[in-house]
Amino acid sequence: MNDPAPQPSTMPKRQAAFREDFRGRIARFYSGPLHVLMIFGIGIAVIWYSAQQLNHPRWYAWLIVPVVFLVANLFEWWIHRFVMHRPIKGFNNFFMAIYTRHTLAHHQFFTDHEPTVDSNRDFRIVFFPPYALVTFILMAIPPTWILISVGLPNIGWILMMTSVFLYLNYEFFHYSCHVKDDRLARRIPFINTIRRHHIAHHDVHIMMEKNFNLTYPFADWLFGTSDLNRGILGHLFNGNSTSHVKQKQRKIIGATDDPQAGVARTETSTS
Amino acid sequence: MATAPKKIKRSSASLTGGFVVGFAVIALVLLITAQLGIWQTSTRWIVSLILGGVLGAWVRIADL
Repeated sequence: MNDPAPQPSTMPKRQAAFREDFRGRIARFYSGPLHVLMIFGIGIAVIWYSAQQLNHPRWYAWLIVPVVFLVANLFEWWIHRFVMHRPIKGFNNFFMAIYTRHTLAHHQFFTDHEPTVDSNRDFRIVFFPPYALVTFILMAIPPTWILISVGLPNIGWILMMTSVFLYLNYEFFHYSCHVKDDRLARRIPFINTIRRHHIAHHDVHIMMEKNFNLTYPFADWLFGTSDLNRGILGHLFNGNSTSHVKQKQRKIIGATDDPQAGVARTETSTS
Repeated sequence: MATAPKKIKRSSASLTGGFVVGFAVIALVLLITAQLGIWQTSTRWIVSLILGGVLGAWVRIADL
């Protein structure tokens, strides 16, 4: 396995300036731990409440779990590719706000040169605001309600539990991608895979086209938007390896503040 | 000469989001306390309104 040692930070000046400006704009009353606690508190409360509604579910009721996994994975890929990285006007600027927050802020704050947080105040730009979770829960209510209405309450509540679990899964994995101390993250299956996958996505040259999954890179494999050239199991268990990264394009890095300015490199090099 | 601190305008998303989170927390606390069968109805409402109000307000003042 190709497992390169961590390299010293090579943060471009532009990124450093953005970080300084962004941190200066974080509200005084912001608290990273409270932000995380609120997200996981609300999520775990909904999962607990839904679990209390189960009434001896039969084995087939659990078949909804892989279905929700699949739908959530496709949704995660779709919203990341077509909403978070595309400026869409209208809808009272709802989608533009998501694009601005993600492409114009998150991707300026974290690059493949320096993809990690420095303090828990940086959680402000890692985790979604808690109302994103509430919106996600509201989206899961109609199918839950329909299943309960047609006499399949156990399946409905399992659907709700799985949906919220996957949201928390998303947030945890995304944090693992940006955590500074990666001694654990580099060794845990799935987490090490998505960490390499996501840090590669933060390369400005591929961020609009590659590596949109944030949990398990299934949809990226399915739709050919992964930077890897290998099968589905290889994608899921790739870990930190860069051995299978596609090497078909080479680019000249032209940004004047890029520490590798003028140096030819592959489009998919990761730090 | 000392410079005045930057005054940052809060986003409208944090205002709407604060209300959304506040109402969600109120609903969750009411559902969970009813499920657990603890407290009288009036106590449940008071606790849920306080928690929902505080957390919703925090989303706004933290400008999430």
